[in-house]
Amino acid sequence: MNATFKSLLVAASLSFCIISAASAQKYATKNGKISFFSQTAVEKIEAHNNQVNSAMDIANGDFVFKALIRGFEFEKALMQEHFNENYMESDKYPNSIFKGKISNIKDINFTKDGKYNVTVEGDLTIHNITQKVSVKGTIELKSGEIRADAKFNVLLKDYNIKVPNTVINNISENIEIKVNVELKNLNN
Amino acid sequence: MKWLKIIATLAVIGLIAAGLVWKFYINKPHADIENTTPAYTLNAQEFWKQYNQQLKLSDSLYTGKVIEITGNLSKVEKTDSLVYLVFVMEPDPDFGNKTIRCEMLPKYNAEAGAATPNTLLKVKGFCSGYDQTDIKFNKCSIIK
Repeated sequence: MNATFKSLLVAASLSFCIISAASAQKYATKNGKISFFSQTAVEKIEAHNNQVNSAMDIANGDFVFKALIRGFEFEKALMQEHFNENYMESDKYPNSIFKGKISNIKDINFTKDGKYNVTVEGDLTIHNITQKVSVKGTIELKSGEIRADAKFNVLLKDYNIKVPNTVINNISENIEIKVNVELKNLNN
Repeated sequence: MKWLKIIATLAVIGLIAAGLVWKFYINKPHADIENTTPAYTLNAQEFWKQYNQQLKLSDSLYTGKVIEITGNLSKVEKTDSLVYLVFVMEPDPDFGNKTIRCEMLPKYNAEAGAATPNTLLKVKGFCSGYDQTDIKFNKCSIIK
């Protein structure tokens, strides 16, 4: 075995170790859940998306969510139709994305099961408008998996979502959003 | 008396019309995806290739439509109440892999849950789009 070949072998092994170590830090799911709720005196509306992609890097706290707008399901078909066609314009803006970080990642001991309060800060893009958000939630570590839960509110006007006057009393300006994801290590 | 009859008739017609609007427009049922003829029937690999090569065109053709795909099943994923049939297409550094994912109608949970990876399956469902990682379907059924 000549010296060049040995060096190549060492470099390849090192690269493999670095890649493996990097993916060992990454947790993800594609079955995450996001629900939203609107409540007014006239009507209560809720919708659920059970196919949200989410990934977390426990080394630096990076946290990403991606949801297809057409993936939200409503109880009433007409509501779902209006949501996609009139309010969210899902043909033009098919995705909603959050990219951010757990700001207190150092408070979490990822080697031990437990529940931790966290703050996630980042950019939330809905309807092609990006806003800075800061959300409080919890991270629960159990048997090598990470469960993340959060609840927060968004204002329709912040994302330029316009509700026609005819249904203005039916839809709240302040929408509650619930997030629940169960992340698994990408190496498993 | 004549006017009274006209008013009563108009009121009845109005009530019937309001009832019909309530039932067939405001409370119209969701589309029956399982019994809808698919707009397109495609091979999973070809479907994936089209979305990746021509996203806008594929979105206009397939997103929001009932599509039937045939592919080699990679894996079955289960949550507390849902079952997903997954056709893995390529690796992905952030989410592990890029896939076509089908969330099953609950009545197909048992059949989908028992499906064997590496077998050819035909699945029909509502295509909710491509998020640059996965093409997602919901309300899926297995076609025999």
